Amino acid sequence: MGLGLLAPWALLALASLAVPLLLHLHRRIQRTPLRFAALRWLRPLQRPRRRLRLERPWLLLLRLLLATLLVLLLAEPVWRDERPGSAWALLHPGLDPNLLPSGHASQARWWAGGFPTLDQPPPALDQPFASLLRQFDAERPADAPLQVWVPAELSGLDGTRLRLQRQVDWRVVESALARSIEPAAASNTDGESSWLIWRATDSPAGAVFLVAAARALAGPTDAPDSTRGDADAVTVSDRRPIELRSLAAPDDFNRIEPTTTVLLWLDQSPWPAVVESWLRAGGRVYWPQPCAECSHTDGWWRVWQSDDAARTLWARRVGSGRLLRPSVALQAAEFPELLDGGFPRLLTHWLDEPRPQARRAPASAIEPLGDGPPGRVPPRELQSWLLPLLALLLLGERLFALGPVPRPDRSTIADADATGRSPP
Amino acid sequence: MDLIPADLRAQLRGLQLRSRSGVHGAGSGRQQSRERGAGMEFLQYRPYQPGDEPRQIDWRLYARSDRAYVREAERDSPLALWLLIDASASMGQADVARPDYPRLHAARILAACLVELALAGGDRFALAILRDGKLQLHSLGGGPRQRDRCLLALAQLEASGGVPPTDACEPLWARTQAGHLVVCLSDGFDPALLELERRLAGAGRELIDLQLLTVEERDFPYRDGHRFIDPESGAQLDADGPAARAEFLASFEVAQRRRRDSLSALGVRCLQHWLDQPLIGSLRQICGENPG
Repeated sequence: MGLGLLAPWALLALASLAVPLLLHLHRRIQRTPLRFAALRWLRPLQRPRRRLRLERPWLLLLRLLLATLLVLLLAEPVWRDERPGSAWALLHPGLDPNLLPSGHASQARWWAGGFPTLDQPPPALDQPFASLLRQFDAERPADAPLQVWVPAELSGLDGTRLRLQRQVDWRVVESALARSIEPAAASNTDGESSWLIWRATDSPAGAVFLVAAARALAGPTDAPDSTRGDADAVTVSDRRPIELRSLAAPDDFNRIEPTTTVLLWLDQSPWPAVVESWLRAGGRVYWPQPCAECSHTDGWWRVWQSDDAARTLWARRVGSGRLLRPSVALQAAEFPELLDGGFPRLLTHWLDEPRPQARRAPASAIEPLGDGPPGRVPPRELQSWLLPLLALLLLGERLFALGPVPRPDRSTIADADATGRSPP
Repeated sequence: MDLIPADLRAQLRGLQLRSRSGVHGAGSGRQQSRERGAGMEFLQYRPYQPGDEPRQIDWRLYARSDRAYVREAERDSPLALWLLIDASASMGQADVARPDYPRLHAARILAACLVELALAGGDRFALAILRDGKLQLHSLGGGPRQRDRCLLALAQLEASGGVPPTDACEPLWARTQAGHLVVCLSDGFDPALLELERRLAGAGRELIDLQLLTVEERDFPYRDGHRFIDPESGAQLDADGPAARAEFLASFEVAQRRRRDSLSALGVRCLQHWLDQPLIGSLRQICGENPG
C-alpha cells in the first residue's frame, strides 16, 4: 500500500513553489503615495526590520498547496494496493450463478470482458476466455485465491496452454448448462468444400496430373480407374467433391455453384466475367500460367516453395479472393512434385484455406498450469481524485485573492461621541 | 448647505463666547466689562433674542407691551471675534480612515459654530483666510447678514497653496485692535503663520490657537513602507512605517511643544484637536469651559 509516482522527475517542478513565496514577500517600499504634511519631522528611508514578512499568509499557503498538487499531478501519482488479495471467483457466462456456494467470501465476477459483477445479466457466450483468464490473473495479487467455474467444454481458446501465475481452483461443471453453448460457426473447411476444375483444349501439359490428383481427392468412383493415383496418399478427411467441366469455349462457362471454393482454371485464355466476379467475392482461383514477374513488391506472397527454392506458388489478393499462380510452367520436367505420390496432399495444402487453430477443448484437459510469469497488479490512478480537488482549490484561491482586502487599522477612531464629527 | 450638523447645533445652545480681558468699545454686547459705573445706568431696551438670559427680560415692559425686551443697563462691551483660518494645502490632509473629512473641513465647521455663537452673543465677527499665499479679509461686523457672508465664504473654502508671508498680512494687522479675540484654526506647521500669531499676541490681541491634527500625526500607525508626499512643498520621502515611527513621534512632539511654549509665553491659549475627536470638546475649550 503506497503512493507511487510514475514520473518522479516531474518533482523538479517543485522549484516553482518559489514563485508564490516571492510574490508574497513583503515589499519594502510600497509606492502608494501618502499625503503627509508633517514631512519635515520624518527621517528618510529607515532600514526595515530584519524579520522577513509575508503578506496574507493564508493565501500564500493556499497557493503553495495548489502548486504542490499541480506538480504532483504532473508526476502521475498512483496508488499501489499491496494488501493481501481477497478470494476471487470467475463464472463462465453459460453457467448458473446459483452454482456458487451461497455466502462465499470471495468476490465473484462473470468471465467476460470487463468482468461485470454477478448481479448484471449474463454476458454473451462467445468471449475470448483464455485471454480473459490471463488478464484477470495478471491484474490480481499473486496470493489471492482464484476459483474458475467452467462447463465441460470450453471454447474461446487460443493456441497456447494456459499458464497463470497461480494455481487456480478449476471447477468443471458437468451438469446441464443454464444456457447452451452456441456451436462454433461452421467454416467452409469443415463442411462441404467443392472444387471446380475447368479444363480447356489448350490446358498445360501437367494439367493431367492435377486432374488425376483431384479425382483422387474426390473419392472412389464406381469404375476402378488406374489413373486414380496412389490411394494411400489420400485419406478420408481429404476427400471433397470435385466437379470437372471441360467445354469447348470459355464463353459457355456461365455458372459457378455456390459451394465451390476453389476453381482450377486450366486454360491459358483469360476467364470470363462471371469467374472474375466470383473471384472478387471471395473465391480462390488457381491459374497455372507461370508467373515470372511475381514478387513480393507487387502484392504477391509465397504460399509454398519447393525444397530447393526453385519453384514457388504465389498468391495474391484479388478483391476478397485469392489468385494462385506457380512460378514455373506446370510440366512434369520442371515440376517434379507433380509426379510425387503425395501430390494430392500438396494440392490441398496449396488450394485450401488455412485451418484455424483449435478453439474448443474439454475443460478437464486444459486446466491451467500455475507456473506462468508473474503479473503486475496495475496501480490505481489518482488523477480522478486530484483533478476535482485542484479545481476546488483553484476556485477557493481566486475567491480568497479577489475577496475583501483587509482595511487599514481603524482602532484609533473613538466612537464614543459621534456629534461634531459627521460631515454635513 | 448647512455646515453645522444638527446634533452639534443643538449643543451650541449651552455655549457662550468669552474673552479673558474686558475691552472697551461702543455698542451693546454680552461681555461683562470691568468698567462698572457708580450706578446701573440704563442704556436701552433691545428686543429679546433667543439665547439671552431670561432674567434680563424686563417683565414690566412685557406686561405693558406684550413683547419681550432685554434691559441693557451696563455699558456692555462687545467682543470682536476674528477667525483666522489656515487654508493652505496641508490643511487638505485627512485621516486615512476618513478621507472625506480633512482638517479644513473641521476648521470650517468650527468657524461656522463660532460665527453662530458670536451672532447669538451680539458680537462682531469676521473671517481672515490665508490661502494661496494671499490673505482674504472680511470686514468686522455683526448681525445675520454678516453671518451669511461668513458662512458663504466658509462653504466655498478649499485648501490650496501656502500661507502668505507676514508682510502680506499687514491688513489683518491693521484691522485688529488690542483686545480683539483672534481664534486661529490651523495645523501649526507653517512658520509664517506662527510668526504672525506671535506678532498678534505680542501686540495685545487675545489669541486662541487651535491646532488641528490627524490621527496619523498623533499615532503614526503605518505598518508598511510608503512614499510620503508633502502637499504644500511637494517634497517626497520614502520611509518604512514601523521603523520611522518612534523617531517621528518624538521629534514631532518636541517640535509641537516648542511651538506651544513659544506661544504660551506670549499669552496665547494653545489647544489641540485631533480629527477623530468630537468637535464639541474643542468648542467648549475655546469658550473657556472644560471639554467635558
